[in-house]
Amino acid sequence: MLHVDKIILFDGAFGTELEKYGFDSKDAIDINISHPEIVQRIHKSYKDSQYTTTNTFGLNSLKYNGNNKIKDICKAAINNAKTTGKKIAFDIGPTGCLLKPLGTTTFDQAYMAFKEVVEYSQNDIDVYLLETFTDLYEIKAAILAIKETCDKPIIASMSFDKKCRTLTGSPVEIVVNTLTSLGVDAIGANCGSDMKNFDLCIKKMCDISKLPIIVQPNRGIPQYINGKSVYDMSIDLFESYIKKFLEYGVSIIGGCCGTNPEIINRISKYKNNAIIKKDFKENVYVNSSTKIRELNKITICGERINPTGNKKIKNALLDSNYSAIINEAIIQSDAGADILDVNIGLGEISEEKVLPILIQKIQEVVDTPLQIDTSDIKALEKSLRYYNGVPIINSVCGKADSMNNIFPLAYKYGANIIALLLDEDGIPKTCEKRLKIADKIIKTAKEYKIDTNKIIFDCLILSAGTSQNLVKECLKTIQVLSSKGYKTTLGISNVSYGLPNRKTINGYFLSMALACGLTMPIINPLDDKIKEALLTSNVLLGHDNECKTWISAQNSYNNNIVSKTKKHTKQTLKDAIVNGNSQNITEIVNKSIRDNDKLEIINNSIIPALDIVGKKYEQGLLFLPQLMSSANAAKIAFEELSNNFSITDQYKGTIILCTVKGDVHDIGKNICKVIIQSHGFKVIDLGKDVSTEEIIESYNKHKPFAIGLSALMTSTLPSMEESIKALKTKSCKSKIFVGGAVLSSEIAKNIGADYYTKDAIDFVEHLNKIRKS
Amino acid sequence: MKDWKVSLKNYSKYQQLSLKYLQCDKNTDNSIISSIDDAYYQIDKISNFKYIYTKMTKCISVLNKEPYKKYIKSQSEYYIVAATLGIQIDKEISKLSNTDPGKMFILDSCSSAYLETASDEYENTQFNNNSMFRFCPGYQGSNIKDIYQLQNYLNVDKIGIEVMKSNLLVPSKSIIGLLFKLNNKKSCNNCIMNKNCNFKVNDKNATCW
Repeated sequence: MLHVDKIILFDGAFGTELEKYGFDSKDAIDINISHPEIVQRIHKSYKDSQYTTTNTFGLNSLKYNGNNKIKDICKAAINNAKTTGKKIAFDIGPTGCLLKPLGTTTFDQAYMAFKEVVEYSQNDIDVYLLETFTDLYEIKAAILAIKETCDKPIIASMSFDKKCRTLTGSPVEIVVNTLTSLGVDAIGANCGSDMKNFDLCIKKMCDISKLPIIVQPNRGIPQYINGKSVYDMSIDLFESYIKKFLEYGVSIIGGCCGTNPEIINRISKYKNNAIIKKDFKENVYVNSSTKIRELNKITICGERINPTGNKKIKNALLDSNYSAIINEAIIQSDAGADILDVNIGLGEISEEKVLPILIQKIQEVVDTPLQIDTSDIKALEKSLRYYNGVPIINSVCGKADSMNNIFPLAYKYGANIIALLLDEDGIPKTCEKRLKIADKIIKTAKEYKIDTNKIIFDCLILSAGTSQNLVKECLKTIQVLSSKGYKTTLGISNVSYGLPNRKTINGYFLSMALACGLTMPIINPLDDKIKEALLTSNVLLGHDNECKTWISAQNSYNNNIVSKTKKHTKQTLKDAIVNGNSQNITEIVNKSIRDNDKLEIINNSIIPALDIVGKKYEQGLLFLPQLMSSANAAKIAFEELSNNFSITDQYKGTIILCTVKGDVHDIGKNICKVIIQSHGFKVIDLGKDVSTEEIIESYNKHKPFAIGLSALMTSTLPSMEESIKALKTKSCKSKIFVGGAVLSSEIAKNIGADYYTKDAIDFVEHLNKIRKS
Repeated sequence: MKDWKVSLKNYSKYQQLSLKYLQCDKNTDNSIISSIDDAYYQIDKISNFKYIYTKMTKCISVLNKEPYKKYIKSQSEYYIVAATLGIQIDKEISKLSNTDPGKMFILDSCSSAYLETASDEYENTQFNNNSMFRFCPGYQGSNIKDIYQLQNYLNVDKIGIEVMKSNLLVPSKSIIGLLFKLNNKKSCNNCIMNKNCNFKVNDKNATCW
């Protein structure tokens, strides 16, 4: 624990001080060993500070590329810091690498790099200072590395830009919620933008955080001359900002780039002063790295990512076709879901393996916070670990085993938890018995140091068709828990299971539950009756101020009816594809299905449309964006047909596509994907930065007709060649295509590929030719 | 690094560059032009343009070779520069790859155009003239691997750029390069690439964009 009951003073910059001795700040770490006396001199020059920060910024195996051993530098740095006789803050900075999915460094690689440094330093220091982090995911890796190695306190400080966001887009509120949930001892900001923006960030942080706040600002914005930074903010101005920060409630002060002993001496007058305490209301949140939702308000959780009763999701999981699932996430988010439940419970797949991967893939594209829905403890732990932000766990229940397994994970990763009101005796029939389970859950949660505000009670609704009398008990339970200030959730559609006209029952039940105080309905956000029930309830319960949302929804509903009717009556499927109009394709296909055989639809509408588009493109009458829009429309048409019929046998073949290891640019691959899909091929998209092992695994699973590898840079050609060699070693029967800016037919031949294609059209023409022959 | 609000004054430059990257010509139909306009607003909203530079007064080892040497020789100073639109653009492009590949391609192309235009305008503002020429390693026979060394002079991670081992930049809408001062207003005629460029325009006062 870090005890902060008075203002604490940290030291100032090291790198800029080092430059005064004629050294380059880039060599700072090695100087711990080569010139320890210089390091000690700089440390001692900050005589007023209460902590000495070790000269170890950038010391990790991913960033440091000097000749010394990390272990030796750690030891030397700590010994140098010890010469001041003060408490020691071990400085850990970022790796300098962007973590997947944005970059190519994995979470585990970053974790291991931090863990190594912690292992070498844990015994001789007082606190870990994580500073200048610009990625929430990366700082999570560092925090876990520390917490899983030792129990030293952690100060976590991030850098923010002029929009008060980290470089990877996390705003202050999300940083505060995530770091607090992960159990750090203090949070704050350092480096980053100019003082004016720094001021905005700090004020916001102090308004919403219960933790001690650290500030270590730069001495203004530097000018860069010959690779060196020059700072010129006056000491008076710097002090005036520090004073302001202290009035906001900051408890730890210091300086970053450009500061020096003189500046730290100036602000030392505030050392040991009383901390200005602020009152604030503590709310409970769920967040991704860029979106946050308050759980005390009504939040909608989308239920559609669930293979049970959903053929599309089930098939997507069996095919490892994550694109389809990601699409489902996007659709629900666009329809207004505040949170997305992710459930992949299928006997045929390993949840432990697939769930964490899927969580990361969804988070790559969708900002909406996620609810991790699994009963597989290993899958849950991995998913919590790799989740970027603060998720919801679905779920724990009143059984001892369940609580003993899940509460420690919830505590460690700071997650919110859905708690089912059932125990070893099953689902109670009365409200009173359910409330007793709630009490048991709360009591046990406290034993595991879980903040009980993070618990959302699932009052459990069974089908009215089989347990009609329990519906009222469920509603009564919601009412009682709500009156006590607890949050509640329900899987709304359970109430209508086995009954006809389910949507109507679901809609009315939702309204009743909301009126009883339900805070997080788990629903299908695309269901019109559900949408209507939500909007109506918000009006009647006073959540829709001046009924603005209701009125606006009615206006857009009416406009949609008119525009859909117009388009619907005029546009054929062929027209829609030629015009690249994807909006109503699904409806148009469904209308066509009523009157036509599926083969007729493909042969008389889709293929002729693509022929027209292809010819116009060749003639220069259409350009690539329009070609892609048409291809996308055709792709959606094919998908809708496959939802209605089993047309697996109608697919011309399966193609695996990916961008090879080390390459993260995938525009070309994505263009090829949509064009190929539009021509009736099934595409398994492995994504970007794909290892040879993943390609081999996918080949073994799908035995595709062809494999398409893309690369943008000459430096990633070796990865491509390695993958091709590995496939050939496995006696790969698939045709191997390569493409990308750096490729040519000669290079393709040299690296062992079967074909080179210059663009997506060329690719699909080759595929069709091979297929015919 | 300076805080600088992007407002593309030279919108037509952005538009022309966008058309070039979209592989469309001036006679393309209005739907493409309209898409370029829509993309502009979207990029403006979600991007986080940052520019960083350092002034150099001596030739560093990585630049002590052709084609850089001949330009640095004539300069008393030059700059190593980096700019980015930030990671949110990459995320949006990734999202569109799932939902609307046509829009994805448009956003990708227009973002490249936006980055170039914004960088040009920033340079005009910062250096107060229109005679600065930006050159990124990888062109005219220069080695793209030089980017890896140039980044050491700039702390590009401070604006969120990572140079991968493959020399790709992440976020994808980023540049690292050099800035030279020209004696005359820039045009294809005095361009650093004028001997070997696919986009060269023969009018001596014209530029490729």
